[in-house]
Amino acid sequence: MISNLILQFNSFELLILFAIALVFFFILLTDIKKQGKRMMLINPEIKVQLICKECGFKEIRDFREGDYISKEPDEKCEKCGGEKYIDIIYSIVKQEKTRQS
Amino acid sequence: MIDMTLQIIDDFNIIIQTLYILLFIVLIFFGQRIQFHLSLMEVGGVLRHLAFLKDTAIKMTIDELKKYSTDKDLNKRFERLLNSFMIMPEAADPSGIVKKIEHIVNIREARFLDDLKRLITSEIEESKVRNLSNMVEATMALNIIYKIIQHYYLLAKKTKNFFIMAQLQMIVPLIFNEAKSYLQALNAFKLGTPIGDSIGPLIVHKFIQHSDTKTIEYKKEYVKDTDVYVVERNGRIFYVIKASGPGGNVGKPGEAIKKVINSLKKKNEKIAGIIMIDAALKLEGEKTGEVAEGVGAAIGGIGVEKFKIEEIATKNKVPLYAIIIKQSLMEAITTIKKEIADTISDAINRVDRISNEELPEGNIILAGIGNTIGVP
Repeated sequence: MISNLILQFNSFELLILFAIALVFFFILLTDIKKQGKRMMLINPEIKVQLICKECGFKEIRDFREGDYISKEPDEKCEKCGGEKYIDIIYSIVKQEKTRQS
Repeated sequence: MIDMTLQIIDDFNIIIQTLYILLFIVLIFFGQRIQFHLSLMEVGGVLRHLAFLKDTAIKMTIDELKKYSTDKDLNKRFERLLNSFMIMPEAADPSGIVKKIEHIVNIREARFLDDLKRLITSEIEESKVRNLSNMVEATMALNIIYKIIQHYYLLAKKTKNFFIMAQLQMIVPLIFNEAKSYLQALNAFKLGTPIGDSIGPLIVHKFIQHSDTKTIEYKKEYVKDTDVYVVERNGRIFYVIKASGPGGNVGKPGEAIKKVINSLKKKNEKIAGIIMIDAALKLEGEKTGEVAEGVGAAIGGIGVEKFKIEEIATKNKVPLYAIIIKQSLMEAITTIKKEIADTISDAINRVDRISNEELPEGNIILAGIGNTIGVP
């Protein structure tokens, strides 16, 4: 009886209404998702590039508190055992490594 | 049966049509009010997030200060520091305003640093004090952003002013990004890593350390918080100016350039030109780490240092060259990105090209502008 009624009552109009409601629902969902992304804080990885003063061998390791450019940390070169200095400090942003604010 | 069904359909159609008309009338008379409440909800949400960012920043800064302080009133004294302000001089008579601004800024900087040092009870390096002061300043920026947005939000809510709310709604996504940048900057200041804005001092530091450069003289604290290196490269003499590091500090490059020019003039030595290297805000769509050349004083801030450089350069007819490294605000105040750090050799090559091809005989002043955090 009800299905018959729906069929007779402009089923095409109902379908359009349903489709519009669905579109709005998806727009709302995407918007909420985008808003959540906007609120995220990026947590970058901080790397340090060290160069051996003797052989010029380059090494990259994670940043340690107290590191600064040109600092000579108490670390020996893996290749020749020479003194090393911090050539550059930089960050790499990885989008997947994020935390929600 | 069919008659009854048709009757129900007719009734249903009438209900739908009445609802449509009602909705139309409601939207005509209450549309703006509905829009106002939707905006209120959106801005209120952002304001809650801003409050979270501000509270996180305050907690991070107090936790860091507690490492070096046994002061029982630390929270109270920190709050006093957080709410401190600076009143800019009257601009109705602009003559001599730069000197007045400089005076006020100097007082503010000295008082701020003294207040911070009074908070710290342990013996720590000056560079760590500078990094802590940068942390407090970033927290202050977040606090003021929150207060201003909250002010307009409550004002619009109280007066039910749709237009204040609409303007707020338009601007909050940009403000929120800025606030997020300040919170991320706190981490860089806490760790003492070079930030995007450090690229100017970093390039000149690498210029001094370069194998083709020979250091002749090093003048530490040539002017307040600023060092000068006299170096020789490709047969030319450079006066390299940068803020004293590795603590977070921008120095007084304008004052240093003025002093170098005056001292060279006294010795009757020629000044070929000034080359300034600084980070610059990129436009949306521009690549991070893009290097560009131009003319003029490449320096930001409140304007005092820029004024001094322009004044002394104009008075002595010294050409001003600028090299900028483009980045966003977020990149400028957070740990330097690889794309920005990779521009060092390109910028040094550009300094060499300008000095060899464009500048006449004489001494060259090279200034690395920006916060020298993490760069000695």
